[in-house]
Amino acid sequence: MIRSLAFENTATGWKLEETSFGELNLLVGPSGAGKTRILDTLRHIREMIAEGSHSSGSCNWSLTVEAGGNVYKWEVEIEAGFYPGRFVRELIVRNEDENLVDRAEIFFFKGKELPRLQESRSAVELLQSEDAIGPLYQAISRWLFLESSITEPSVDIRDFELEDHYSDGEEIPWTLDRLKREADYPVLVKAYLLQQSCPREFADLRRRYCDIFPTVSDIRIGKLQEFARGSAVRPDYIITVGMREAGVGRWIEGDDLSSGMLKVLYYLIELALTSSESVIFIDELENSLGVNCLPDLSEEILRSSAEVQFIITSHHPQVINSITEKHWKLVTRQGSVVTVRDAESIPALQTASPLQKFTQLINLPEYAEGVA
Amino acid sequence: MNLYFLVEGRRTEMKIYAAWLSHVFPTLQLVQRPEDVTDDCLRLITGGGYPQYLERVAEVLEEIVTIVGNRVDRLFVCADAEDMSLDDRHQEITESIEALQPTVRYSVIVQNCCIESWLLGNRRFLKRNPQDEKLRVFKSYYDVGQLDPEAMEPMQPYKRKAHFHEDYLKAVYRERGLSYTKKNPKPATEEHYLKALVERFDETSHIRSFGRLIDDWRDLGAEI
Repeated sequence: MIRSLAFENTATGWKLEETSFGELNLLVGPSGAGKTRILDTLRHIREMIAEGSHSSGSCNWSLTVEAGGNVYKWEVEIEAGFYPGRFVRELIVRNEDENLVDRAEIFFFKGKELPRLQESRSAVELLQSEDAIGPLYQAISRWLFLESSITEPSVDIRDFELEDHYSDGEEIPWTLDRLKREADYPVLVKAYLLQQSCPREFADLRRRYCDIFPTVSDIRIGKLQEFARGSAVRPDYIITVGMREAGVGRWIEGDDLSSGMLKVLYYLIELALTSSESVIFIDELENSLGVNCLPDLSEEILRSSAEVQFIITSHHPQVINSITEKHWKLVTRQGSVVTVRDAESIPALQTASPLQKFTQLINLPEYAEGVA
Repeated sequence: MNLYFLVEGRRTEMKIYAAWLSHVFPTLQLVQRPEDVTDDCLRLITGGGYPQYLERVAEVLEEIVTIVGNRVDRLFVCADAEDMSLDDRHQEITESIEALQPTVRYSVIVQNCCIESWLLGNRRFLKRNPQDEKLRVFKSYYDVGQLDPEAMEPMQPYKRKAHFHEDYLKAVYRERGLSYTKKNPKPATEEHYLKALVERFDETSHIRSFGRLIDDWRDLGAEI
């Protein structure tokens, strides 16, 4: 779970003042304030531990993360110029007083000097196998950015190695727990495995989906040939979603489903298969979703937020109204400096007014004058 | 005296009404929460655009009764006529308020067709011989200094009246070396600008929908 973040792009001057995060965070604010940029910044940090700092500009950040029962503070300074970005300063402190990493000219880990290591790689990545750092690495690895591109209606299953075996040759089953921990596949492939291996959980997911879209009576994730029409031969390596709708005699396949319907399904699958201690990021939750499903989807997110942390942006009245203001974070920008405030700290919102919350939000001077 | 304003738009109206009211009723205190309404207060709320603002009417009426204890002298509901007629829009809003059986006295103010139409009424601001090419074309098509801005139909290729009125106003500003934006309508917010519009209405009966607002304000004791 991300507890706080402060970030500065020293090349451009863009700065995020220290921001704290709870379990559910709905970033609201006028267009141009920096909501998406905050998500992009976190994505950038996530990339740093996987790909190194080659493509990073000069920046620094201070990130506090709760992982494995400990609180890690990770402070970083990256320098870039004509050369690729490199980590010139790194500090990792566990539970406020245990210095794990102190990296400058010399690299210390738990007080011991380490040999010279790649400057383009972060300490979190380099030391991920160490018990002290592993949980931090794992936590950041579990940040999941749900993209609008997740509405891909079909996938070629040959691209993925889905079977693994014990040393005696027996296949390792895809339990729900294993799916959550290890299934690093596109959402459709994960859904396919869930359906095959965890029918009860899949049935629960189907029921929740059908509650949101009452015209849908059944869902199946299957190979194209399972949805065969007539005698046409269809590839058995492409999997897609099929749905049955009232009044339609055949399966409706992925290509023919609306992107909004697919998106809600994929969100539900991701929510069902996300391991606890994960963080899910959704930029503009309402994108391509109809008003008929937004409140229900918000409700699903609220339900999941007990286990998973969410950082979501939205402009949509229905999303904003359906998530109480105690979860709102009002994002504003003065020049290059972005500030995020808990809505609870804004006096004008402490009212019993029957005006809907979204109306109260857009009437705040902090909102109206939120970009200057 | 306590006044409530529910305005349709998020940006321009909020700025203009807040500024004009501070000139006309300088003792009114703008409050952010209904709980803060005491004796001489102004609450100004944007309804977030058409048609959402109509849905806000019920909430505002409820707020006035349950939180402010009916201590509101007048509720103003202000909206653009857009492409409807002044009377049709007025009727539409009045009907939606009446359906809620309001206990507060209210006024419906229709900006015909939009607030920029009113702002075009400032004869002192419009230059007699403009240099701006677009403004010259607009003025030769329809001279808002001579004719009633509210009655101005869009010239080709404009499809919507409000877009034309806004572009006309932008050209008037540009001629003065200024830039009119929805977010920053200055100097229309200033007292001299408001007075010029009042003068236009008093002398010519042009911008009649603006005149209804002025009549109501005078009715409430404004010396303008």
